[in-house]
Amino acid sequence: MYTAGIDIGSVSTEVVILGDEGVKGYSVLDSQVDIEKTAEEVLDIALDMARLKRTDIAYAVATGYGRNNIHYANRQVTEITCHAIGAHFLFSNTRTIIDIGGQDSKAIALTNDGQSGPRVVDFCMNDKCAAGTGRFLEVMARVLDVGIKELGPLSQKSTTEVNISSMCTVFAESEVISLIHQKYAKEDIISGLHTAIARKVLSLVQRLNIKEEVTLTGGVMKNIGVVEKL
Amino acid sequence: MTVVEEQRKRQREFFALQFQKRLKRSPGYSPLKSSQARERAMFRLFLESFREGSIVVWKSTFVPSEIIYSLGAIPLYIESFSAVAAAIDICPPMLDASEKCGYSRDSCSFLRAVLGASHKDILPRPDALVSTSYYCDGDPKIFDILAEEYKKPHFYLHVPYAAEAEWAVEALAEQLEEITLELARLTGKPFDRERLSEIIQNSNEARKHLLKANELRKHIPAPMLGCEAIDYIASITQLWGSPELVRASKLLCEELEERIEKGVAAVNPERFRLLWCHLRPYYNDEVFNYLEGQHKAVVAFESINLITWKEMNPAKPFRSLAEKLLANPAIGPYERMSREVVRMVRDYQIDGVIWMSPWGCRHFNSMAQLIKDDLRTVLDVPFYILDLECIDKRNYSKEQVRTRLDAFIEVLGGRKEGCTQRG
Repeated sequence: MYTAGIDIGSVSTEVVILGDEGVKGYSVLDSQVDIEKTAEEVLDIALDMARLKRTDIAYAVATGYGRNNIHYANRQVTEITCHAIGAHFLFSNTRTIIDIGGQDSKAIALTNDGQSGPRVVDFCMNDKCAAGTGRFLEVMARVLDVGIKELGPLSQKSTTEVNISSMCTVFAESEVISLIHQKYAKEDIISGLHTAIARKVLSLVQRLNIKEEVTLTGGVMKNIGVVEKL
Repeated sequence: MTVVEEQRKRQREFFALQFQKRLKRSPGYSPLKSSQARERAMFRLFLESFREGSIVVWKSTFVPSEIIYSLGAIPLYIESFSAVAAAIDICPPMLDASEKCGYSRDSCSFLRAVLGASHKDILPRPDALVSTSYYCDGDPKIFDILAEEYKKPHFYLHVPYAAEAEWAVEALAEQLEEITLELARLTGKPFDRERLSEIIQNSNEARKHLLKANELRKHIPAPMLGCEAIDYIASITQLWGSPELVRASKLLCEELEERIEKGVAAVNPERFRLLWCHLRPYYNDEVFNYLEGQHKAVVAFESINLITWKEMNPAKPFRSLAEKLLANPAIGPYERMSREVVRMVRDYQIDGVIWMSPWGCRHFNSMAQLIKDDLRTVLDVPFYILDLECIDKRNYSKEQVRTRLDAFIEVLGGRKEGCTQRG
């Protein structure tokens, strides 16, 4: 039996197709204005990779902010639960998840009492504002004129970190511009940005009853600089 | 008719029309007759305050209405006005007006709405103002501004933090008596101790009915929607002491008994039972409708409807009112509130707690994590701190709120499933 999971996030849309033997296909596209069209395209690419047809998919689950707009999904589940169950699937000792996505960050606590499978017991999310998330880093990468993938390796070369606010993306952007004008090294500014993100998300995590192991998820966790700060 | 009288008449007609629209609305469920009676009483009280010759005393949340009624004056509970204004959708220009005057959008939207309304002069003018140091420090400061604006006296009731100390009762009772006598002198309405005793008896009568209603609401399935029940705001309503509250609360008990007898469930099937802490968004019913309608998670009880004070002694009205005020679990150390939350969770067989956390409500927000941690230790019941705005709909993001509610319901679902599987 083959199943599909689709995540329509603020930045990217992903599909993964699972069979009994594990991952058969996957695909990642930028989220477009037309959510449904993106959902169709991303599924077709993943199906091609898996050498499967639509009719081979027995069950599909949608998550992310566009989860209620996917007509081929049998069920909608929030990204909070999906992150938790997904992390547990990959790392079965996971009990705490820290996720930083395109526009939200969250901390999730889960349990696995061995009888009913893993389940979420508590969570908290960023509120009011998306500063300190993936969008925040995208804006800063543009201001610093570096690629988003370069941020992590560059920050590892930092020698003196600078303090940057994470209260508001727009204010932080002007802070970064000011630091550039003051001739601070890009590496140090980037390191400061990563610290700001880490502090913001840790303030969420500390509201939970943190248990090991901790798994980091979300696009921002591809950034080694942020991971090191956490 | 003078210009002021003409203006009052126009304002009264405007609000009467808005209230009529509100009463005729279709909230998506059939409200109880008692709820409609309570709502009508609230609207009538407000409209009365526009009448020529009415003595109007503006009060903040915990100022006892009883002392104001006893003088034949009308208590205008200003935070409640903000809620009504949000419900009839006249808040945005009021909030804009307060912001134009320099009040931060980060501050309490209940008070900002009142400031804006006063700048636009759409409220019944006060003859005097009374505020308390609890619930929040913002109240007396805003009342100072309002008193200055209307050139009327502002009386301040200092509620001691040491709520359980005997001296606190004495201190508060003295202040209450002093303020009542001063209001009587100012308004030219002689203070009548017997009248206050009668009002206290009304309060006792309504308390008896509302306690019974709270008891009836422990029934499973819940006989009443939280969306409807939360508007009683039983712990703080300005109707305390009025015969209207006695009638509405008596009728509420009768209706709840009838529903229970007939097996009427507010939510069918009832999947989860929630405890809701703090107030609610007043600009729409979406959050409650989503929980109770879509997710079948009934808000079985609300902390704002908790009645914690004992029956008052009509022969000792000021002392009794002081005791009533100090029985509020939000006064003093957070453990008082924590104990009540634990009790409500047990009494109403709650599956999960939603602690609404409005941006500007510093006092209430400061307790949230402490109470969550306490509850985790004592009962291990899921507790979610939900950022949500009461008055300012500009700060409401439907999808963000829905994702959080969906996830919380998934937590409750996973927990129930786990319990079932464990047998």
